[in-house]
Amino acid sequence: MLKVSEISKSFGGLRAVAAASFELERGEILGVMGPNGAGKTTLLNVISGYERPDAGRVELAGMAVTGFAPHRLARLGLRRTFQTPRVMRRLTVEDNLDLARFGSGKGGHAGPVLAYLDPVRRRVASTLPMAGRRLVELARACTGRVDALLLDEPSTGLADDEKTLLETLIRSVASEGVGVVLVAHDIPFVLNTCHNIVVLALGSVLARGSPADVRGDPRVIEAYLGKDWNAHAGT
Amino acid sequence: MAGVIGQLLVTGILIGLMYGVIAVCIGVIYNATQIINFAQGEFVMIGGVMTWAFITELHCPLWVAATAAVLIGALVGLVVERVVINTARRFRPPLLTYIFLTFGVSIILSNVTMFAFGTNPLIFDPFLGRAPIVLGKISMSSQYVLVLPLCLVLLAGLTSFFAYTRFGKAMRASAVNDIGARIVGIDVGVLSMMAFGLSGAVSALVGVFLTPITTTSYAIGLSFTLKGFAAAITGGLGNFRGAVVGGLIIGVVESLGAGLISSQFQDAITFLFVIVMLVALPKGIFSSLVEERERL
Amino acid sequence: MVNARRRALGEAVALALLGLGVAFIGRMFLSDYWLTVGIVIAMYSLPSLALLLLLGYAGRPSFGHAAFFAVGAYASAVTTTRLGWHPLVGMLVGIAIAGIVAYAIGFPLLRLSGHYLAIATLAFAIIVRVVLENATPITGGLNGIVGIPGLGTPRSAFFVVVILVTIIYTAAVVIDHSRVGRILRALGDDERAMASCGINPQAIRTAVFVASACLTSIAGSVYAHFLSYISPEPFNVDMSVLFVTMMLVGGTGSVWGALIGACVVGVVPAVLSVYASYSALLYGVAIVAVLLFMPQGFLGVPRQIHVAVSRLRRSPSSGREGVRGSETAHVE
Repeated sequence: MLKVSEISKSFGGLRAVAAASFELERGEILGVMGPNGAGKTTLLNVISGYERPDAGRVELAGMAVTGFAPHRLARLGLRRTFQTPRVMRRLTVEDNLDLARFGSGKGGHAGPVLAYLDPVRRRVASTLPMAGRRLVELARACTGRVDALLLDEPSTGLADDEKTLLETLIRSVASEGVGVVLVAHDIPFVLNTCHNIVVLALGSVLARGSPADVRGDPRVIEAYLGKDWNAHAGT
Repeated sequence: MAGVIGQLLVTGILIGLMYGVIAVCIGVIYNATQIINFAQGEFVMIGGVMTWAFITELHCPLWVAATAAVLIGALVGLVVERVVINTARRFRPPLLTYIFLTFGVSIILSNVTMFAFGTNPLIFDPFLGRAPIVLGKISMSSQYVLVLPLCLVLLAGLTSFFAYTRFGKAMRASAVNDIGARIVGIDVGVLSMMAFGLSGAVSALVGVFLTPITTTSYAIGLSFTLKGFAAAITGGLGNFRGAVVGGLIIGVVESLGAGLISSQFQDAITFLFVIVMLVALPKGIFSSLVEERERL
Repeated sequence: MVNARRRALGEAVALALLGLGVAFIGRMFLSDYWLTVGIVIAMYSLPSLALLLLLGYAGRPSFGHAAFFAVGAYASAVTTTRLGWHPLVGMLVGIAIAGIVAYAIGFPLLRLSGHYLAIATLAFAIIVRVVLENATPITGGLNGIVGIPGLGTPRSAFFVVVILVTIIYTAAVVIDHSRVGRILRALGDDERAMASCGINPQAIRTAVFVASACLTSIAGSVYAHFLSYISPEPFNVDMSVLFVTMMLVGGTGSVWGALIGACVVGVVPAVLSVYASYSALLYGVAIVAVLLFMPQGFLGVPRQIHVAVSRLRRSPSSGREGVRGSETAHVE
């Protein structure tokens, strides 16, 4: 449903993403992993329209959407959250969501998340702690038309029980048919939540497969921990 | 006709070099602090006005007046930095605040000058005397002859400063990555002071040399700020070489526009070019040293 | 939801009553001198509101709004003196031109951020003034235009202008509490997040810019009729600075702030009387002082005092949040 082909993006001399490709099906939770600087966020930014790729294509439900503006992509159903949650600071939680309804239509798959936000509906978004803001962002991203959901490090800054909650919410959203791309640093979180995983290193796709495949892949271990680890510790 | 264009080009290039120096000053402050100094033109103005005051009211010889003016320029820069910028820095305001702050400073400086020295244009004689220089068909104030060596000296001096001194290197480091610079121990406050002081002094010197050509008054600061900024953006904000090239371009555009199209609409033409540059090439011709860092 | 609506209504009614009160009572009791001051304040309260929208809500600076003020003034002047049209039509013409110009330049300029936009708006204002000075057949060049139909006696002028401003401000408050107001706040808060909701930030930004231009143009039209004579000279950077000062002084967060800013700044020349030429200097100092010491303007002072006092009261050991924060509001 979401197809990313050969995306490349450089900033000046720095090659952030190199010919990265993957495909996402409806209801699939695809993890994107990789050490720091692997280009994960850049890739998300390119897909969601905040950066233009130097090369490559993005297709949403068969339609070419490369280089579309972010708000246009959002209306077409490609939604996202950000590494540092971006909520409208001056607005209440309710109003944040109302904004999404205005921009992307009614409906959506935010139901389960909304249930958790109900007690703080009237709270001004800037007063919420990290977990609250992440939930607001998630709910906002799931309000209205959402076919593909890109989550950028949604578990950063959360405590364990909050991560479990997040995992549950992501699963329930996916079960309603939304394709989810989950970029994260948190390896256990990704391995637990995702159906499939793509590993990026230095901008290119290093490995692809199920969590079990990827966990044992020596190349992946090397990318995260270095050659010596493989040599000394074995797998 | 060729003579006219030649004249316009020569004066345009020379004035443009001065704009380039102003642009470098703007770039210095920007690189050290990420702040755009809206009062930069007032530093230039102060240089000219102070020199006038020392020469005309205190009857000092030129070199005394000029030195005093430059020192005052540096002093004003430092005072602005400590009193206004540093105070603001304490509560880490958004960059927009600094824009308004320096804008407010420029208003204060120009109005204080108005109350002190009146509203009439002020001028003093070209350093080499009033007789114009004549080169073939081109005739211009003798002051222009001094502009070239001055700018070359200033630019060479600034280049060495950035390449060889500790402060200069620290400024370059800060330009590329201010957090990294802080981590290795570079003190942003000191850097900021140096940047403002240096900018103030150099801009004042530009004012000293420009006044015999353009006259000076309390209100010209804005014009220099805009043109200096235009030059800086044209070349790429924060980029040394770009600032000079940008200045040359602005100087020539202004000169040709005034001479060939209309001198009444001179300002309009120049500023229209400024707007076009801002829109078309916000990163400048050489892209700027400091990318606007946006984190998602 | 009901609460919010009630608050909105309350604020709107309060503002309307205030305006009507000022209009009627002022008309009866104020001297001509203070009526004039009142007219000036009312007139300037519109660009103050305009900049509130642009800067306070959308977060974009403009140092060039004097240009739109001039558009309104000249449109009214030209249409009423050269074409003999009705002043209201003249005002509408001014609004239309200001809107079109704002749309045209907003398109390229609003994509610029912060300092670039500030410079660009400055440059724009200068260009407009040069054009006004030189397009003599239309604008009368440096001599300007005379004989513009006036607003009548200070008493009636005051009444009309204050009522006009009251209507506009009341509408502003209502809009402020509506979804439009929320969208505007979102624009100022976080444009990327807004885009991720499917709303086009550029379109909203342009709309805000156009609205701010039109509002300022109305004030310009009033100005033209008030003075019965206009020239290009006052429409300069100082005027743009005046607008910015008003908005900063009042506090960039609310409609009331814009109004207070206009009042404070409008009263200054009257208070200074003989020293009125120091006004510009005072505005410069005000900008710096407000930003350094009262970043939220006069309206923010109570909160600043509150915060400072509670900081003094709080002992070092209390007030610590848990690692995760809590579901309750932050301590400050």
